[in-house]
Amino acid sequence: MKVAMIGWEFPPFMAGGLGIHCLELTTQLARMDVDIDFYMPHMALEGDLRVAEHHKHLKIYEVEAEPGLSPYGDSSRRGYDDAFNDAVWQYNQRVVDAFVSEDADVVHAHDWITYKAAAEIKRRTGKPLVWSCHSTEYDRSAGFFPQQWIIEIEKAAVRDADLVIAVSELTRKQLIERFDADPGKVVAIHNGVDFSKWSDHMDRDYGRSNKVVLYLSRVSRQKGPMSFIRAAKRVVDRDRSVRFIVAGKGEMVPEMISYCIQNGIMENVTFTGFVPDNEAQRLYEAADVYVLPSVSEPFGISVLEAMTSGTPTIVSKTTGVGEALTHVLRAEHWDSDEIADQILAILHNKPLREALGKNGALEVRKFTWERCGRRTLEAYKLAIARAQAMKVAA
Amino acid sequence: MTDVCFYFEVHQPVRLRRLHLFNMPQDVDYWDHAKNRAIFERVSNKCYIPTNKLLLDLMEEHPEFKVSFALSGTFVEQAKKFRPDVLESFRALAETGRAEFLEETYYHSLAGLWDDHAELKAQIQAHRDVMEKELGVRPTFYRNTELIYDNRIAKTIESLGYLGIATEGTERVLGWRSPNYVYAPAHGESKIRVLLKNYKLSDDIAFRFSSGPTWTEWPLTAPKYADWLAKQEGHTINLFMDYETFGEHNWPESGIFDFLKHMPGEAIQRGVGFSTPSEVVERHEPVGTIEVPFAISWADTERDVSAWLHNEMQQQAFNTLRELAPYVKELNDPAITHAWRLLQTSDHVYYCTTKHMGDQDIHMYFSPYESPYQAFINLMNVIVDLKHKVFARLRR
Repeated sequence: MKVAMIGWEFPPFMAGGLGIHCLELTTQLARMDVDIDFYMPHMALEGDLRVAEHHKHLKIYEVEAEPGLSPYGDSSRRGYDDAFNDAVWQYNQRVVDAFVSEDADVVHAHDWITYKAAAEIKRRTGKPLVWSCHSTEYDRSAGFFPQQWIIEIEKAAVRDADLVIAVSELTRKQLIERFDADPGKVVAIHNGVDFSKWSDHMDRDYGRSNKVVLYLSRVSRQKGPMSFIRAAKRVVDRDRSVRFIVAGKGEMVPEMISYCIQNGIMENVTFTGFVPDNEAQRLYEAADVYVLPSVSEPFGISVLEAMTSGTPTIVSKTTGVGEALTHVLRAEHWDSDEIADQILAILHNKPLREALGKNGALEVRKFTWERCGRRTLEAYKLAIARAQAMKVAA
Repeated sequence: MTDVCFYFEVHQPVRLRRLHLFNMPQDVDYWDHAKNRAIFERVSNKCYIPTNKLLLDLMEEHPEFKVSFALSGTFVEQAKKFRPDVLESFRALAETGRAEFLEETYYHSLAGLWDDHAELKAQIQAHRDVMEKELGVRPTFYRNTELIYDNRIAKTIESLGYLGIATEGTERVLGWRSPNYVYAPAHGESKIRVLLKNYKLSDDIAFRFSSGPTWTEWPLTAPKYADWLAKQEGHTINLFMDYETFGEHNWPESGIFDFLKHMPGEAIQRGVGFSTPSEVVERHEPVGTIEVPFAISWADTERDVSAWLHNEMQQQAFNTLRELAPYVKELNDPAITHAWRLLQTSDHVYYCTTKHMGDQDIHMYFSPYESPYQAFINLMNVIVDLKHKVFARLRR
């Protein structure tokens, strides 16, 4: 089996969610004897640095591209500017021009940002096309001025790909309901966690409560930070000794600070800004509760990272990973009373804290990248079979 | 010849509504009236009404046919409120004289597991009162919540004058011995008798009837089952099960009603008779004693009390309620005492289980909550609220 994969970023230079996903996925596929040609942009900013030199498990083709911004990197810019859009099209064009994987069995593109190139390659070569949907424009905008032209690309991908991989059942359902996807064409495959990055904490002491509640995510509308801060207000009204940490950066920080000041809870809330993984680890350890109240979260890998650390976790019902978890608390993303009640219950009841923490740490072990890789390989085979059937039918 | 002793458990808990710290009621009305009504309506239509009618028909058809029931007080209370016709049909069964009604705790509680049995006795008395008032019967045989049983409980029930007590026929207690005989508790000079559930034959109906081709005996027909009954030895074949076996846990499409309709006739044809628990223990002398230092029950694969007290969340809820006892007693407010006891209904802690293997599914099947943690949070919120209200009133 050989796959031509079209990506946007790849460690070590760019380490957004998509880059990590592609690294982990290709590592697993390579172990399953899949050959991988990986196409990605080479940003002028990186100069002579080459991603390819850092990896042996796949062949990386770096396509020259204009300096642009990852769609996952900077959320303060809603609405991509023309320069960014041009850079995306240029990259997609150049991938098509650079495409040399004539012997690939399947083409695999990720998100709208690489779809155009994949579609053109499919048109020219007739190769089966798999499209992974890590999030849709509706998710990223949280319904707040979604950009129609991106939705159109996502619609085309859903329509024309031979197989669509959704990152959760939640996203799969959205693709079926809002993008008219053929249910037989969309499979849900969950991400994994690299447990080696996060120390396990089976010996964690749940007896003492630090009374620390953690938000650790981008501080953007999509992640529901206002629900968190409204819940904080409710909790502080009951218990002034509880502290809230908002870790991450994003466009909602000013609004949150303003809310805290107006409601007199600024003393109870700490804004840390962006935190690297090693500090995130310490925050997970210190926190009694981790809360991700996302409005629309296709997967939510930070949930698994928190749980790996043995931290009791509350997720919104609109967070994809929640669908596969038993040992978390779930609430509607807008229901800050419910979230506050759950926070207080965890802070005040050791048995609850301990059961959620310990059982959760065990439960997340099922989210391996090995499983993600295996299921992706199955998806490739299914895509090839479906494309074959389409040809015969035609 | 060995008689069949049917006993059906008829219970509905009074479920809590979702209460968080920010929407607690002023009083102690914590209950989800809409959901309780909806569930009661559903189970009445699917199980209580059609099965009661079928049993009445069977009694008409077969003069030998007898059954027994235990109705929890929380069931009777809700039947009165939501479906008086259901209560009426149980009265009709009682009037035949061939349906025995057993005693249990009014609140279907775990009070039998408390060190002090005063609360257990109070709840049994409450059940006596409601049975006499609503059904005109005075029970002589006792079944404890979920067949929970140990030496202490047997002693207490004996002291109250009951003829017998029912429990699970688990090998942990019986060893090589058959559940089909009358036994006595191990304490000396005991007058009370113990009937043990024949769990193989009971579960064939209750749990395996709808299991489909994975069970080699499927489909279970009345003649086949009657053959099995006819081959049994001993005093009694104790078929104990939840009443909802008929029409609710096994859907009508499974053929469960046809089975029940024809089974007694097939059994009688093969010389098998029917007795009620009190009749069985009056007719037969015990063949031996059973020694149960640690509580057993009919729940989960462990047949112990872990279904309710396995994890620390369940223990915390259980202990917090128990520790409230002297204060609730001191306050002596009927509404608060009733609410406190309704919270003791075993179902509330049953919903909080986190046991991983297999049984989790059956717990969640019965649970109105989406997870054991939500169940615990809601239950604890209410228990703590009640506690605050009790203490506030006492301080006044």
